[in-house]
Amino acid sequence: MNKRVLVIEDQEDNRRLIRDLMGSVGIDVLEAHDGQAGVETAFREKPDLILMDIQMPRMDGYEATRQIKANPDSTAIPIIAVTSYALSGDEAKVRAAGCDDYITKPYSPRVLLAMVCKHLNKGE
Amino acid sequence: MIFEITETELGLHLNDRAGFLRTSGRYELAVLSPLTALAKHLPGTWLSDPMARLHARIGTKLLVAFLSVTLLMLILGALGLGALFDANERTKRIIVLQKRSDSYQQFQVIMFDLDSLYAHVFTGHREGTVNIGGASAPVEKSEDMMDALGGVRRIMRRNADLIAAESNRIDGLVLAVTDLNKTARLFRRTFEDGNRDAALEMLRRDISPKIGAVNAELHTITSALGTEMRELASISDGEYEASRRWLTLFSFVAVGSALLLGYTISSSIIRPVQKIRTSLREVADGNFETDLKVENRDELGELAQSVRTMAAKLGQAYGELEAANQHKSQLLANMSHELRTPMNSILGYTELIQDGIYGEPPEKIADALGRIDANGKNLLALINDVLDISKIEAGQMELQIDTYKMDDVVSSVLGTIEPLAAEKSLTVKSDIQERMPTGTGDAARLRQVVLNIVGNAVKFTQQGSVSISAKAENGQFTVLVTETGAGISEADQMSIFHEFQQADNTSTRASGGTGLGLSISKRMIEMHGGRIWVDSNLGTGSTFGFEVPILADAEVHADTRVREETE
Repeated sequence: MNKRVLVIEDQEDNRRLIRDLMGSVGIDVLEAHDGQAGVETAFREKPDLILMDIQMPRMDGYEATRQIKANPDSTAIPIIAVTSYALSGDEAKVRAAGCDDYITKPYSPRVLLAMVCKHLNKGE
Repeated sequence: MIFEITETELGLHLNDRAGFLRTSGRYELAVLSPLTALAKHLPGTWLSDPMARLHARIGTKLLVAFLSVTLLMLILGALGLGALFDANERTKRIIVLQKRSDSYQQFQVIMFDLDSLYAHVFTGHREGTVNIGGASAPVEKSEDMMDALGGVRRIMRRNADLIAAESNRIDGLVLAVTDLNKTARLFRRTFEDGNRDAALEMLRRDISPKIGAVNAELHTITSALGTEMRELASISDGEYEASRRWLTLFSFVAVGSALLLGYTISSSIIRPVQKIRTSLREVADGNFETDLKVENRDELGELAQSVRTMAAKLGQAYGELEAANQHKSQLLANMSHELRTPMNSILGYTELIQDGIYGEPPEKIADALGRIDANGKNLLALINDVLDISKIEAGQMELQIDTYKMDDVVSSVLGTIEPLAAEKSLTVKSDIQERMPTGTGDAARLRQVVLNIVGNAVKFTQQGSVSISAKAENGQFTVLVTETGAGISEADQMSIFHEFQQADNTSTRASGGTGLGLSISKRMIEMHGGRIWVDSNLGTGSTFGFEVPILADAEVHADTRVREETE
């Protein structure tokens, strides 16, 4: 059974990047284009891990994370936040929203992959 | 009573009715101190409000109050003087009465002597011992009576205000005495002529009753005088009583009015001052909605109005500032996101291609990919520098203070630049003190500074070595980076820490970089409360150094722009 990672990201370039990256190690990728869709997909599909972009229009990553973590069915899913790290309060906000880890853009795909694998393997 | 309006930092609140006033001062209302204490504790706004609403300057009100009190005192004084004057007048009258009484007493003494002399003559005759001399004596005595009468007349004339009745009585007395004298002289002649018996008969029959008549007149006069004196005494008492009552009453009224006036004026001044002070305190605490209402229509009313206006203006200005700040941080966040997102694609996809995700890239492409990657990373470094400087300029730069180990920071930087140094065949030496204490500060930013300095050293040194040392002493971490490069001139040493200045534009432009690095490093170090410097000699190389407190204060994130401008 392949691991499944949900990517909640509004930019197609980034989604493709992660899709290709995950695909290279046999991880299936689910995609959502915004926070709202992401939350619904998370409830429905219950992926093994979520990559959450923070800066999204309408519903941002913090709010989507809060909603996913609030639901008992999905609260155990590890969420890695992907932020642009603009202001110094970002790390604190990310943790406060309930994210398990975070990575700042622009990231090295290798580094991201290592982090994803670490969190996926934690469950075993 | 001392009122203090103190300086404090102003808080934030948006409102259109507040005011701004920043003063420091001590106002002593020493003149009315006890009254101010009273004003604080008694209500009575029904007294002070009408006074406050008077449309007159405070100085005028105080002057009028003072003059009123003075006037009351003057009236009191005048009444007192009046009473004294009356008392004096009464005393004078009593003295006059006394003099008259004395005269009449004198008169009575004479009459008594006369009576006894005549009695002496009478008994002397019976015994046969009386002589001319003895008979003359009473007559001479009655002549004395006339003199005494003259004295009374004189007193009468001097005191023309004597009532007519008394004047008549004195006339009566004079008549009686004159009549007695006539009879007395007749008695003497009769006696001298040898008609002793007839003379004595005259004495018994005429003189005695006439003496009685004179005495009767005298008695009338003196008892009238007595009555007059008693009347005067009782009037005097009455007048004194009345005087005393009026004076006491007026004193109470005067004192009461003065106190009331004082209280009214002072509370009409103190109340608004207290209200204004409270209002200013609220403004200082950041509450611009302070509800300041004073009844006064004098200077204090104007002051209150000013305070209201200024609070409103401040609230407005601060609101705008707050909005501008919000706008700025939003802008920075947006800028950061917009710039970093494309970099993610450029660098990310390049790495994926290099890692063979899309299949092994042909040999020929590897080089080109490498350049794309290197330039992308370069661009990212420049973007980061620009974003950092923007944050600093906007006052939005904050340190993330936490514990860190300086040796780890330096070691990690060394790890990063060693490959680059090796490429240029530069020797890297390090001298890191063992067992350095744990520090507090922003490790990421400090690493940025060390990387910047060491990176520069490697970049601008073509041959030789780069040495890094780190030690902890006197509560400071000191990090020194020495390189055997071309050195930096005195003039350039001054400017390299400023934005966009590189030591020598021509030769170093090839090395890349915006020239922002040292400027940002300087800010980072200074935000930790430390300092950064360079020692260099042309031709022999340079040593860059910085020191930061081992325990950098969490408060040290203040805006360093001011310091920059004063240097």
